[in-house]
Parts: sequence; structure tokens; C-alpha cells
Amino acid sequence: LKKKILFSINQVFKRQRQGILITGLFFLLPAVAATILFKYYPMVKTLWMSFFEYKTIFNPGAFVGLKNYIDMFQVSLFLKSWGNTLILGIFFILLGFWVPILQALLLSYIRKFQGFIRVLYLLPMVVPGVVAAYLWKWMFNPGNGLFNTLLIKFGGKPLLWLNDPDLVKFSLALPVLLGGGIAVLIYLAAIEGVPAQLYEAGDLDGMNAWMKIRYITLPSIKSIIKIQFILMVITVFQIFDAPFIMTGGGPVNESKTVSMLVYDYGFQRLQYGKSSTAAMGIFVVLVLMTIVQIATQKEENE
Amino acid sequence: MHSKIKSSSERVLRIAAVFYTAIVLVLLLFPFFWLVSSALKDNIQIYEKPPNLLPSVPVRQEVYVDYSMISDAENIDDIIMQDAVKIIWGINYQFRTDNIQKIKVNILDDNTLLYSFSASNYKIWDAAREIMKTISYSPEMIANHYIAISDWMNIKEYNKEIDLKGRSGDDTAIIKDYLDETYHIAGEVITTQKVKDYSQYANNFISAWVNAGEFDTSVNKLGFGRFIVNSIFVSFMVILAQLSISSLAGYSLSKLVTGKLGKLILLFFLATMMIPFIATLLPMYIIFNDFGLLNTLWALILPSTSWGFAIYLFKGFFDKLPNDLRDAARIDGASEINTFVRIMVPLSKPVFGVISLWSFLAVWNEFMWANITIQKPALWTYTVALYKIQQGSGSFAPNESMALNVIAIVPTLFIMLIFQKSIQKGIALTGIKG
Repeated sequence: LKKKILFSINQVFKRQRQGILITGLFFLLPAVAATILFKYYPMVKTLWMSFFEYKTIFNPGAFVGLKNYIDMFQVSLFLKSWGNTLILGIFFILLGFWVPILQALLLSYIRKFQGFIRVLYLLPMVVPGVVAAYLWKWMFNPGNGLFNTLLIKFGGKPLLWLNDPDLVKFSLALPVLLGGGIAVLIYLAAIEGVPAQLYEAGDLDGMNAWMKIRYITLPSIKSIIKIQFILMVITVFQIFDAPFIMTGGGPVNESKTVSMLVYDYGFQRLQYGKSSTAAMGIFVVLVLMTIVQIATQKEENE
Repeated sequence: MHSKIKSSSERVLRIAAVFYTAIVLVLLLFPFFWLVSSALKDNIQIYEKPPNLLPSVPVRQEVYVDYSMISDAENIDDIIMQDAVKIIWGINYQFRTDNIQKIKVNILDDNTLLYSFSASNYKIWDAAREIMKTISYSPEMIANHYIAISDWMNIKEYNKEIDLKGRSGDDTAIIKDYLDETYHIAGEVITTQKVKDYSQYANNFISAWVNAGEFDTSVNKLGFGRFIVNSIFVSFMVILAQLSISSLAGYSLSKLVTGKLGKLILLFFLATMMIPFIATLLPMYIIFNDFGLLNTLWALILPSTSWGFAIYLFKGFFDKLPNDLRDAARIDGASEINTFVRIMVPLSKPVFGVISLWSFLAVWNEFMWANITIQKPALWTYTVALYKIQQGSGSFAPNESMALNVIAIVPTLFIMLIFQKSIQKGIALTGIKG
């Protein structure tokens, strides 16, 4: 009897299988439509636009092939904005990448109030980017800002911060020095996931606490560190809001990032071909970084 | 922490951890403190150089005026009201560098307190702008406008005995002379006193909230609330879209369309993570222009209907639910959509929660796209409003814009405090990908 029932169930399934597939595709329809319309179509269109002259947004004008790309490399602002983005990215990574790792690592040695401290570390998350940008701008204010007040108090000279062409990129990256945010919890979760046996083995080998961090904890969370690093690079290459709000790209274009260049060419200079060309640059970087990320993950899984 | 034997190096590390964490948390919280402190400062303190760490306590100026001598006068009500307006406006103008946040005129009949007229500093300046179209004060001008101006005052009736002993300040004589000589007050100024008034800390918040409405006439009633309502609407719709569109797709890829085709479609969704939004900016603008959806909130909602990572998360979660559930429902003759809604969704609350939260945070903080597509002030989200307010017009002092920034943090702060457990769980659920 059992066999019979199973058989009949299979029959039902067979009949239904086609129906299920159609229903399934039907379920996928809205997501596929939205993805094509708002992701793939615009991306292809950007590529397409980058080959045209585009005098106005709705009129492609003459096909110019790779001319926009070649031109771009002769525009000093284009090269400068890539340079700015790179330097800004390096500042972000140097000042900020290691901070949440250290914070998580040390937090794992604190047992009292750990839950409360976690919540405090999450607090930067609640600050919308626009608010953070204006708050820092207010603290960087050369007139009566907090930083200059502190500098003067401790006998230093007041600085121009965001208004100083040499200092603007450093100033924009400075907030990351405080760390916090979701990254701390991600690292903490990873650290807590390290098997206790490893530490016990370390004890048997006579390792002290520093050696355990160096030879057990850090290697165990290496993959998370790598992925976080790649994600940070991806974020940094798209940075827009903070410089747009805090400096507008100035002074003298010293904080103009590639994303801002896309915006500038598109919505201020109305050179859509050039804007699309700059956008393609960011796309290529992102594709490369994603490939690196996938390769990293694969390597870790093996 | 990993063994019972505490080595000395571990003890050092533990102490270092406590110190470092304490210092970092102080530094991390300091910007929050500075934000709130700036928002609480008055219009003079905010420009102080060097700035004070803490805002000073707001001061209320009390003025006691006696009318027992002329209590029989025919138009005593008019006289009192005119006097109150003169006193409030006169003091606010003449002693503006004293940082008085509120002025309260107490009307006395001998020892009986009859009424009080009061107005906060920002209300007086607003009245100056709106009613008199000028901020220069003259007794004549006040006499001409006093009825309109009196709408801006808060009037309270008391009818109780009070004792004036000890209610006087160092500057009573100066204020008294000024009021008598310049404004010819009908009543007799008995005494004045400056008192601390903590409720006036709210002034910047109220005035900034109300004044934010001035960008557009249709915004006026809600003030800054209009922009928050817009943001809430957009976030709500995006969450709704995410939860329906992405969950259906995730479910389909997990239980319905499997095999090679399923893998291919999943890849199709996941590959969109390589497409930076900035790279699609112009075509998106063109699309929404073609749809006629620029300057509508749909321009902010629709782009978020496609989020590959959410589909991936949903699929991963549904994969963990046993297929037997679905099969049982099928044998009972339930349709796929019924199976999904009645059986799968109730089992998937955690993943729905996490995705709602991430969608909310992403959309709630969105700025660039909203700033490009929405020109109409009535439709600004709060991020765009904050940008417009702080970028240009000089009508907002830094303390007022900081007050708006504080307000802007509150919704996310609440959501984070309520859902912080869910956020921490979400880290595990998303496979620690960030």
C-alpha cells in the first residue's frame, strides 16, 4: 500500500511539475522585470551613451566610438578625480580599516557590560549620512569649530581643515578613525566563532595572550577581514555623499571624486557622453573587485 | 577568557581592552554630545569663540506690573494688553544681548496675580518678521499692531495672592527705567527677575521644525514633519515591495524553479551587485523622466524594487525549510501562492524582519538620488530637506539646523534600540557579509 501511495504521489507531482515551473516563473516575473528595468537596461544604456556625443540628454548626437574615453584621459579633472578617489580611499583604509578589528578584538576580552557596549558601538549606524556630514563640517569649522578650539587650547595652530587643499582629503577620512558600526559586530561574531579547542591547544603549547591573537584569532578571521576589505574598497570607489555635502568637491577640486564627476558631467555640464564614460570607469573597478571577492571566497572555502 | 589559568599577558590584555574600549566609546559618543549641545545653545552662544562645551541654562525674564492705581479705568483690558506687548517686545529688543529666552509679564492688582502674558524669544522674532515686516521696534509701531502681535503671546489667568519678597534682580532698575521712559507703561513696574527656565531648551527645536515649512506654502502646516512623513512613506513602500517581490522570487528559486535554470536566474539577480548605482544615474533619470515620475515619490520607491542580495537571502532561508511542508500542502490541493502565504511566510519571520530592517536603513538614509529627482519642496525627503536647509539659506542659524539634525537621528535611534537584537541576529543570518 505504501508503495502504491508513493507511486500515486509521484504521478501527481509529474502532472504538477510543469504547472509548478510556470507558477515559479510567474513568481519571478516582478523581480526579473524590476531587475532588467532598473539595473541591466540602465547599465547597458550607460555603456551605449558613452559611445555618443550627446549634446542634450534625449539626443545621442553623433556616434564617436571611443573618443569620449580617449578624451577623458586628456582631461586633467578626470585624472585628478581618479587620483583624489584613490588617495581618499587610501586614507580611509589607513585610518579606518583596522579600527573595527581592534575594537572587536578588545571587546571580546570584556565580559562585563558587553551587550551594552555592543549597542554603543552600533550607534554610528543611526546617524544618517547627511547628518554626519553636517556634524563633522560643523566640528571642522575653522572659525569656532571644535577641532580648532582643541588645537588652540593645546597650543597648536588653527587649521583650515576642509578648506585647505592639502588637508581636505585627510579631513574627509578622519571620521572613520572612530570606528564603530556594524563592522565591529561582524568581527566580534567571527572572533566568537573561533573554536575554543584552538585556544586550549594554544595553552598547551605555552602561548601567551598576544601569541594567541597573532597565531589563532587573526588567522581564524582572515576571510572576514579580506571580505570586509574588499567591501570597503568597493564603498570607497563610489563615495559621493560626504564630499558632495561637506566640500562640494573643493577646494580647487581637491576632493572631487569620480562619482562626483559623473554627477557633474551629467547634471551640471550636461555632457552625458562624458558622464557615462566616467561611470563606466567605476563599473569596471566594481567588476574587478567583485571578481577578486569571489576568488577570495572560493579560496577560503577550499 | 579561553582558559581558567590566567596568564599575566592575558591580564595585561584585559586591562588594555577595558581602557581602550572606554576611551574609544567616549570619543565615539562625543560627536553625539556635541550635536546635542550645539542644538541646545542659543543664538549668541552658538557663535561664541571659543565655543563652550555645554549650553547655558536658558533664562526667563519675569516682569511684575501693578495696575491697582488704575483698576477702574474704562479700557483697562486694552491698556494691560498693550502694556504687555510693549514690555515683551521692548525687553526682547533692548536686552537682546542678554540672551533672554522667554519674557513673562505678570499683571498684578496689589498682591493678587491676575494674568500672565508670555512669549518665547523665537516667537517674538517670528512675529516681527510676519506681522510687522520689520525687526526695528518703536512704541508707535507696537501700538498700531498690538492686537495682531498679542496672538503670539501665551495668556494665562490666575487670580491668586502672591508674595513678591525676594523676587528682584540686579538689573531691575535698568529695565524699569527703560520701560517707563521709552514705552510709557500705564501700569507700575514693581519688580523684575531673571529665572532659569529649562523648558526653553526646546526653542531651537520648535522654531527650526516650524520654519522648515517655509520652503513651500503647502508644507507649512507640518513644518519639518512633512519631510519625515515623505521619508516614512517611501521607506514603508520599499519595505512592502521588498517583502513581496523579493520573497516571492526567493521562494520560487528555492522550491519551484530549481536546477540549472534556477541557478542561472539566481546568478542573474546576484550579478546586479556589481552594478554601482552611480553608473546608472543618467539612464535612470531618463527612464523616470519618460515615465513622467520625476518629482514624485515613486521615483524613490521603484528603483529599490530590485535588490539581488535580498532575493539571495530569502532563497537561502527558504532552502532551510523542509520540502515536506510544501508537498503536504500540495497534496491537500493548496495552490502555490496559498502554500507560500499560509505556510512559508509565517515560518520566515526572522528573514522578513532582517530584510525590512536593511531596506529601511538603506532607503531612509538615501540622499543623492532623492536630491536629483525631487525638486518640489513638498515632496522632499528629510535628507534632501536637511541638505537644502543647511546648504544655502541664511535663515537657519547653526543651532537650529543642529536641532533638525538631532530630530533626524531620533527615528533611526529608536528603531535600532528596538531591533538591536534582530540586527545582531541579522549578522549571523547574512553569513557575516556585511
